[in-house]
Parts: sequence; C-alpha cells; structure tokens
Amino acid sequence: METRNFQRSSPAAAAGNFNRCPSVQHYERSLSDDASLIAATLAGDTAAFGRLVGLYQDRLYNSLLRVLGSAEDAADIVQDAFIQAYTKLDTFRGSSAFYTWLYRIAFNLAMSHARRGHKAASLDGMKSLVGDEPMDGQPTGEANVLRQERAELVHAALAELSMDYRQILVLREIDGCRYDEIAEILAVPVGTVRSRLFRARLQMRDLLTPRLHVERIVDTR
Amino acid sequence: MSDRELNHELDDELLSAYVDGELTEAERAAVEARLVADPDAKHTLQQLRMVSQSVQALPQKSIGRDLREQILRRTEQLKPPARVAAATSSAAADGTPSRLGDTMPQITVFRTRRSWVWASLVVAAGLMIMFLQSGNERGTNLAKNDNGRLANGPVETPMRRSLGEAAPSGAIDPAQVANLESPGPATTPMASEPTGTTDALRPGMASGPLATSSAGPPASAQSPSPTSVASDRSAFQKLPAPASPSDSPSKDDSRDVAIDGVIARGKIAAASPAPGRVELGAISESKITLDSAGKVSAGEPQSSSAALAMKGRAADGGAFGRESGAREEQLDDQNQLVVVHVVAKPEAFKNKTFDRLLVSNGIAMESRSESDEKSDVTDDRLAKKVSEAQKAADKLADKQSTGEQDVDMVLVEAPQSAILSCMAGLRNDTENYAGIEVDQPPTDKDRADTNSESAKKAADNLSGFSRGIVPARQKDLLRNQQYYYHTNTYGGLSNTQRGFEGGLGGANDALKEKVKREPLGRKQASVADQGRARRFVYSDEQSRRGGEADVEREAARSGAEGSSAIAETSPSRQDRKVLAKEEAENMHVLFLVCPDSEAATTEKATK
Repeated sequence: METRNFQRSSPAAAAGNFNRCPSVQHYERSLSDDASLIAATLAGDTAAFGRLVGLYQDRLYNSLLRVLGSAEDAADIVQDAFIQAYTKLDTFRGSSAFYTWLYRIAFNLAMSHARRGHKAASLDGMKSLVGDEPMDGQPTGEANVLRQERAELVHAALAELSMDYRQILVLREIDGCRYDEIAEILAVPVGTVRSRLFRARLQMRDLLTPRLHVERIVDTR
Repeated sequence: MSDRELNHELDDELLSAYVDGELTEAERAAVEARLVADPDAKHTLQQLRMVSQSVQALPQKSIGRDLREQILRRTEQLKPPARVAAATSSAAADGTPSRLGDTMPQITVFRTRRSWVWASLVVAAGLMIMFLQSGNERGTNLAKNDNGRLANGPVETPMRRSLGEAAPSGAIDPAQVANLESPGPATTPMASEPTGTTDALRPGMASGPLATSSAGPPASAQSPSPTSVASDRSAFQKLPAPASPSDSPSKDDSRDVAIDGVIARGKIAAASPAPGRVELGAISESKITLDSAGKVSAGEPQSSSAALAMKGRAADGGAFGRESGAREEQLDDQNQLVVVHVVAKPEAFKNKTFDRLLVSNGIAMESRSESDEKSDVTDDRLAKKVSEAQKAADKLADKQSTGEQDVDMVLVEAPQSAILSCMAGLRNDTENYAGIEVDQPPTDKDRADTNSESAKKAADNLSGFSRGIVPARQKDLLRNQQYYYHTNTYGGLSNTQRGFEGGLGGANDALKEKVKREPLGRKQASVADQGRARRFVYSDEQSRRGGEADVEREAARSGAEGSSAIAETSPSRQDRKVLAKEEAENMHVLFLVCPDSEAATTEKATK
C-alpha cells in the first residue's frame, strides 16, 4: 500500500498564498497508520476499529454539525457512518485516504438525511452550536462575545445555503480538504469543486456582507 | 449573460481557487497579473478571503463523548467485515435471506472476471425467469413481495433494485442457469459490460426488465438482419405493461409473442412487432405518448442502417437508429447518462424554448407513429441509454401524478459538438434559463460498481457550462449519483421505503408495472440533422393535448425565426475552442428542464 505523508502542499502553498484552516494540521496522519488499523480490523481486531473511531469521530462530527445544523443529527450520522464503514470495510480499496472514504459515507448519509426532510436546525438552535469554546489564544470577555456573535451570523448564513454549497464549504474551510479530496468525497470532478466552491463563497458573501455591516455599525456605537 | 460576463465569472473562479492555493503556475501568474491591473479583482479576492476566514473561524465542536464503546457494541451484532461477504453469498446460495439482505451485497463480486461470468449467468437466469412468467399480473404479485424476498418460482426484480436498493436474496437454480446459456448472446453483452446498470447485479438476484433490455441486443450484431433485429426489439419489449385501463389485451399478446420469440431466436421473424407506441408511466391520468405525427419509416433494415450509420444523423418518425458498428466498438460502454439539470423561466418552459434550442443546433425532436408496425432495433448502446432514461421517467411519474413538479425530460443523442453548442446556448441565454447544472456520475474510487471513464469525462466536459443555481428539489428528482451506501442498508429503514435516497436506487414499486418499453423504430436519415432528441416526460398541458407532433412542428417553424436570437447566444470564442477540440462522437445527455419555481411564484404574486 502506498505510504505517503499526509502533509498537504502545493506550489501556491509554498508561495504562502495557501489559506489553510489551522485546525487541520493536527488531523494529518500517515496513510500507513490507518492502513494498519484497517488490516487489523479485518483480521478480527475490533479494538483497532475503535481506534479509528477515536481518531476521526470529532472531526467528522464537527463537519457534519456544520452541514446539518443539528448536534443530534450529526451525532447520529457519525455513528451510522462508522457502522457502515465497519460493515463495508472489506471493500475499502485504499486508493484514497480512509477519512476520505469515511467522509464520503457520512456525507452521503447526511444528504439522504436532508432529503428526507430533516432541515437544518433553526437559528435559535444554532446559537447553541456556535459554542462557548474559545479558540486557542483568543481573548476572553467582550472580544469573545463579539466572536461568538459573529460565529452565529456565519453559521446562520451557512444554514441558508443549499446542501451542495454547504457541504463543499465545510469540507474546504472547516476540514481543510484539498480540491481533489473534496472531489473524491462528493464524487464530482475537480472542476466542479472549484466552480461550486466559488459560487458557494459568492452566496455566503452576499449573505454575510449586510449582516456583518450591521454588526460593524452596532460595534461602532 | 454576455460572453464578457461569463469570462469574468470564470476569471473570478480562479480568484477563489487562488485563495485556496489550487492553481497551476500559469493560472497563478495570470491571477496575480490581473490583481495588479484590476482593482475590482482585488476587491473580489478580499471578499472571498473574508468568507473563507469567517467560516474557518467557526469554533470547533467536539461530540462530547466517546462513541467507540457504543459503536463497537453495535458492531458486535454484525459480522466482521472480512467475513460478511462470505456469509452473504452462502445465504444467497441457500435461498435464505441474508442477514444483511438489505445491504448492497457482493460488492466485491465485480472485481474479478469470474465475478463477471457469474453476473452474466445471473442475468441470463433473470431473463429465463422473466420469459417464463405468465404476464403482468404475476409480475405484479411478485413485485409486491416485501423485503425483496423471492417468492416461490420466478421473480421479476426490477433493475433499479440492483442499483442500490435492498437486494433480494434467493436461489438461482444452476440448472436454469445452464439452460440459459444456450440463448447465448443474451449473456454476451453482460460479460462485456463492466459498467452501467448491470454493474450492481448481485448473485442471487433476478435481473429485471432493464437488464433484459440491455442484455437483449447482442453487442456483436453488426448488420441488422430481420431476425436478429426483431429479436433485439422483442427483447426490449419485455417489460410489463402499465396497469392502465387503456391497455388493450392485444398489446399484451404481442408482447407475449415477442417474449416467446426471444427464447427461440429462429422464430422471431414470425413475431408481430408491437405497435410503435410507448406509454410512459402514470403521468397523471392522461398518458403521455410519444406521438404519432410523423410517419415512421418501415424501411428495410439494410438501407436504413446504412443511412443511419452516418454519424449522428437523425431520421424522422422513429427512434434512434443504429450507428456504425466500428464506432460502437470504439466507444466506451456508457450505461450512465450525463444528466443536465436546467431551470427554465416559466415562460420559456411553457413555450418549449428548449426544443427550439435543440432544433437550432441540428437536433431533431423525435416523434413516433402509432402505425409503426415494423419497428426494428437499434443500437444497443442507445437502447441502454433509453432504458436509463425510461427508468428516470418512471421515478418522475410519481412526482408528476401528484402535481408536485413540472418537468420536461429529454434524451438527446448528438455529436459532442452539437451537445456543447446546446450547452453554450443554455448558458448564454440568461433570459430564458436561470440555472444549469451538470450532474456528475459517481467516481469509481472505492466502489466496486464502477462506471465508465467516458461518462465521467463527458460530464466533466459539460460541467464548465454550469451556472446559476439549480434547486436541490429539482436535482433530487433525478439524482444521477449512485451513492455508495443506500440508506436502506442501514438505520432500520424499511425495505419498502422508496424515494430518491441515494440516487437511482429508490424507485416506487408501483411504477414498475406502468412501464412499457417502446420498440425503437427506424428513421429515414435527415441530412440536415446532427442529432436527435426524444422526450420522455412532459407535463405541460399544451403538450398533453398536442403531443410530440405539435412541439416538433412548432420548433421547426420557429427554428428559422429563432435563428437570429440563437445567433446572439452562439458559442463564444472560448466555447468554439472547446468545440473544436472535442472528438466528433455522439454523446447522450438527459436534459431535465424544470420551470423556475421562484420566478413563477413571483409572477403569481405580482399578477
């Protein structure tokens, strides 16, 4: 099995133009690590699968939370995704990263879930999702409140996007996936990833700009 | 949107990719040059970065608990993955329902050549089972079986089950399978088809109508002799009739005769072809028929096939004809259609502007004659496409019958240049079309049911024409993506749950009975046409009354009038470059045109 460092790189990244989510860095793993856990699982070591769960549950949950807008739904889908991954683990060919494969399962489930009429959570519900967990190094107090309010605005705007746009933005901005990884997860060509992400950002811009403008006005009073 | 605006949008797209560092060196250089010269571009870049950073700044949320124990407890109830496939196959052989019978079993079966042989035998068994059935009622009863379990005796399992629904488990009688080998050619196409609708066939499953239709026409047949062609056609007619009061016993009879004819190939010539008419599923009470305005050529196969061997040439009054055998062999076996979703402005939808666009690009709308008694078949690759479109039409019928969605579904076969020209026309015509999106076929990574590279390439070629927004609701009407995991496989969902979950795998059982395949007829080649289009679904009141003929006449009449309008939306220089580069091969694209519901609502509100 191909073993490669999971470190992302691109010419632009080397040039310093690559805007990556800092939280992504700790997700980077060697493919061979996952491969050995998968092999152990297939050999009957369910604890190995448990380790895979432990490695990816939070990351997957965080992404699904932003896509579905509901903590409960996200948790359910995370479990379902892992169960399906376990069931179908023998079909995983290893041509992509395990998490890409897992994400694909999860996002498919999320899409189906959404199509069954489970709409994104209400705006009020989202307020509980934007969290009271300050990011590392962030100031507390008033700045924290402002950051939280901004997060609410962003999350609300995210909820107004279509599922396709929301998924792709989450995968790119929150998971830090490369275009080719997103293409695998969503089963679309890279060209579609690029154009869809662009349109998603435009739509977010249109949703955020007036709201953030209001926020700025409030801040300056 | 003008060419200038379109180019501008494409350039801004590069800005978005620039934010992500996903540009080639040349693209990055071009963007940086633009940023220096264009302050608007800088502003846009800032806005895109703002969006990106805003979303990234959302706090990370943890699930708050360790799911490992819970998940592992649930996995204890399941067999380990390494042993699951073996358990499933043994259960299938025993005829007992698999424990994981609702899942997509035997995904690994198509990884080996041996698996393909097995799949071929399964399809052949399915063919035999279907042929031995005593008509529609039995098929109906069997189709109503719950949980995908095979009843005693033959079972008609629709092909769409194989695309991802619960796979029924059941026994395949080896003796039957052995007997099925004698018809021979019926198995050949399956063995040679690594992709498409047959991919998801599993051992233990009886193949359904679509397998029949796709398996029927032998891929190797080059010259359509009356016998073989008639057998191809009759293979294509195997589907049960819709449960409709308008069905006449004579249709059933002819179909039965045709079905019998397939088993004994030498007898085909005596089988009377079914009338050249199709009744598409329950689209409200008035059946939509592909109508009868033009005359269907009952010409001899040889002369017609020669004419139809011209690349993409259309004929009038019949179905898609046979292409040159050499080109068939060259082309990949594409069982998956490229689906293009189009959101039309209400007025454009009502006026069938899309038809005029097709006509202006040399694509003739097909019409059928009810008097076509001698229709022949066809190009099997096209037959598969038609069957795919028919499946999609079935799914849409349910939506239409409840008035939930107006939709116009048109299957187009034309050279790539014509398709691209149509796509460019759609993209450029912002007055009539609010959104275009190309549905992408699933990739083959980490999936055993792989699809063709050419289908992906075709969709990729067209994806650049996407613009605007296509409502999720419209895309959900016909989700061309086949998701790897169907929700029926997990989560306690009922096996009878149907819908558009996971793509093509969620059809309504009742629709199975309403499908009737149309014998594909032959047309006289029309030199002026580059391609042809067939409408499968259409809900417009005017069209219900007038049928295909009116639309085609109107389209032809307005083709000249609209040519100047079309000229305004002719391909840009960039598009022409694209067109020039493309190989001149026929593509098959399924256009799903829906009215812009938001615009319609606004119109109603303002009236």
